Amino acid sequence: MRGIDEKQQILLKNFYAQEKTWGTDYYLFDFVAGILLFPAMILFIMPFQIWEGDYQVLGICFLIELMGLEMYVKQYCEFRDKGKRRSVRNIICYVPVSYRQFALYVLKKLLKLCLCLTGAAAACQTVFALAFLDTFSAGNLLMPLLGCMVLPMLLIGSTFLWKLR
Amino acid sequence: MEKSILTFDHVTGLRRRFSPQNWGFKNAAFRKFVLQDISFDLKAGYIYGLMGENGAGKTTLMHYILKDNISYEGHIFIEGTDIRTDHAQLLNRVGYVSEDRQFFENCTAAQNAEILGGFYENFHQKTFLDIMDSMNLSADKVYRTMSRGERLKFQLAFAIAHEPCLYLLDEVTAGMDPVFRIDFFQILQQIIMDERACVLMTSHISSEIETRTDYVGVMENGCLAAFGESLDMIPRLKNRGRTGDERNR
Repeated sequence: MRGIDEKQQILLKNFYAQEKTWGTDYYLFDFVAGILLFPAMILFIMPFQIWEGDYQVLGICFLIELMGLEMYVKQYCEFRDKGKRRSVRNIICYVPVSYRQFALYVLKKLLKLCLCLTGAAAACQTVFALAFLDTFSAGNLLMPLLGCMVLPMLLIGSTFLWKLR
Repeated sequence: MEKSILTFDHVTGLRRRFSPQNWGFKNAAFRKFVLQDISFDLKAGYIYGLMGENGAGKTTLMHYILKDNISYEGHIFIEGTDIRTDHAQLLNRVGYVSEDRQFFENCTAAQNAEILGGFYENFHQKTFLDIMDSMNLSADKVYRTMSRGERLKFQLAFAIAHEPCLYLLDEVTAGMDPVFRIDFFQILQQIIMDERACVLMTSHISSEIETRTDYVGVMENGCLAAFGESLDMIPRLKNRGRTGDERNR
């Protein structure tokens, strides 16, 4: 990806590898993100044809997914210290890692998760649509692409960059 | 010839036009403070003081060096290299000590040094532990339990351990115990002795600046109002009441 400084990315990777030492909530964000993403994904893997017209349920499932992704991103941005939430960026703002590389590191993590969710949802939707409904449409691919990749990256990514500025 | 460590070349801060802090309905009280045409050159082997009233711009000047998201005109050079060419890499050469700097409160000094020292190219954990020993501060003490003075000692040890050429000390001597104050300046003298580094420290204590620093600059409303040798400058400034500490009493 353009603009990535591999050296700084490795420094950040080594820093987060020690999260068990400095992050007392090491497993909490992952656990909560998993709890939120699991039901959202169960609904997203169901073929698009089932949801046609029932956008309210789809919207709720999308919101739950967004909350899960927000929790996932938070594990890289915040940690608990003396019962208070503190920003990781405030700790590392004076070390030799730039704001841009820190943002790219977190966004790469988010992108990787979104790609996995999109791939899983698209594959499952296609298989279930063909196997159980004897049909397939572009919606079986577009819905996971929009719902698990494009919109979350835009919304969560821009919120993260806005908080970081 | 003395090596130039830090150079400010007509640095003037820029207010970002579309920043929420500068929107019209917010009055001037909410506008971000900027520096105005700052120029100076710091050489290796000296201790420089920076004085001024509260809100004059002393800490802001340091933030212009340390942060990469501040807009300004002019240039800032560290060892002849413009910091905008590779800001993160040049931060390897800067050691920052300040009460406002944050560390992991639940980790020990040694753990903090190990975690954050990994970001620096030349950080040596052994050097850090030796310096902590010489300051009579245990590296196994949890950061949260340290007093203000102990935290500043830890930060100084951490800074020295990654071998910077520029030390930025922001109000570190305020509230320091008299015994350690003497040791502290001896440590600074050792740092600059080999003429590979310089120290820029801010302080409100004019007596300390006069006797312990080689040169002093005076900040007023974001401008560098005066710059010269401490022994000459301080008596003149005291007469004019511009050292800040007299007004703050």
